[in-house]
Amino acid sequence: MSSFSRSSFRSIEVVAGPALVPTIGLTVLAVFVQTVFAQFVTFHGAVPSLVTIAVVLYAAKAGARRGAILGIIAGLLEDSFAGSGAAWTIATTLTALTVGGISRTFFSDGFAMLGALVALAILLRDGIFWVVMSLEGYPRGFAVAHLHAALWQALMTGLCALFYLVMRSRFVTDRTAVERYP
Amino acid sequence: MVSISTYRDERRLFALIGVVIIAALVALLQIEFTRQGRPSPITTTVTSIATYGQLAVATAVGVLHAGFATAVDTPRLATDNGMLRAQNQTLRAQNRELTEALARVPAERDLALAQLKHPAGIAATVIGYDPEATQHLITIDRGARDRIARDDGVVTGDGAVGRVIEVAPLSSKVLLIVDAASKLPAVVQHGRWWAIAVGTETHLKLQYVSQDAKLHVGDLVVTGEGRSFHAGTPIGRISQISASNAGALDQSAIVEPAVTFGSLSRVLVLAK
Repeated sequence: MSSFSRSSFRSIEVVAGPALVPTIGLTVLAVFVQTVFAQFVTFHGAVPSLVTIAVVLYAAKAGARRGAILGIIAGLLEDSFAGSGAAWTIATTLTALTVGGISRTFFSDGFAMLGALVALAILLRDGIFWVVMSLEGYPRGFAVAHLHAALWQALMTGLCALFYLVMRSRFVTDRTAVERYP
Repeated sequence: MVSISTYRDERRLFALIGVVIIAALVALLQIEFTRQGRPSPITTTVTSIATYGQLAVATAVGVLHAGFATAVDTPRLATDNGMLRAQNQTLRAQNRELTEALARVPAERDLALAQLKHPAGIAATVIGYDPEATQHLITIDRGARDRIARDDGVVTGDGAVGRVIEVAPLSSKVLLIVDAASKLPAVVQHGRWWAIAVGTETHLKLQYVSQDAKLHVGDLVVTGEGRSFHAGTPIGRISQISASNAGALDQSAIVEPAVTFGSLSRVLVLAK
């Protein structure tokens, strides 16, 4: 059998981001924190989304495939807490795929760039969420109110992401891991 | 035998005589001042010096005594200190519990009021909110095991909170009446005008009120008999009346909810 045969070939993926399992653990923790404390940090009807920060930053570092895995898990958890069908699952997964895809086209190391990416991801995610919700039968009459809340959430979440990145750069040194595809 | 008086013996004699003379003078001085009823300069001087001496001695004795007492009492003080620390911890814990209990008084009062009106209601605690705050819903710590079912009404002492939309064995999700997806039959108490109360995210909108209805700001709006609530549970008060268009068949009004949704902690589920 030729050495170019698929069965004997194992590709190598270079992953610059953090490991998946600890990130899933932190994201689950973030969902719990949000579901308990969301009511206390609501500003103009919006709360900073720690889940989006986790998913977007991870997808930007680790790529679309791994980002989507995290997005599915985070979205499922949020749907289970919010009783929103599958809206957050779809929205978060699609957002992770998009961020993972476009992050290959630019250097996603700058704090400001990542902060802006998180804010834009919030708008994309909320947009997808409300499309799915309206398809599920949720009333469509509050698009402007939802847009206002999404804008506030994008701003607050972007600032939170920026704060996290600055703090992280002071205390954590990034490592590069080389992992094999199964 | 002839005694020989030396120069040295003379000096002793003179010294003895001098001492006798000085003693006599001192005695005379003392007697004189005693007769006058005043302390003599010698007495004053000696007393003053003695006072400082006594003070110094008393201080030294006091320090020694205190040091000794401290050394002797240290084990007992250590035990006392330990007991007081433990007591302090207990009191702090009690203080925290009492502060928490005090903070829960309004919620418990509301719950007690609601239980008076609905004795069969199931008390529940709010344990979670929508993580993204996109919908107005809460999670409570009672579920199917507590006989809670979908569409059960949820109230506090102030009025209607919402209805159960999802039931798990140990918890349930409650859609608040201010959510856009919430609609419930309502009655304007003054005049008994029927309407539908629809959530507007922050308030409720009273829709399909008859044009004949004479609505007033401040009118109480209560639930009509429906799937989740029996008639008469307060929803809120009319805060604004929308001007109706000419030819319109109905009118609408904005209702300020009776319940403060931002501080919900204890609710009552009206299980069927």
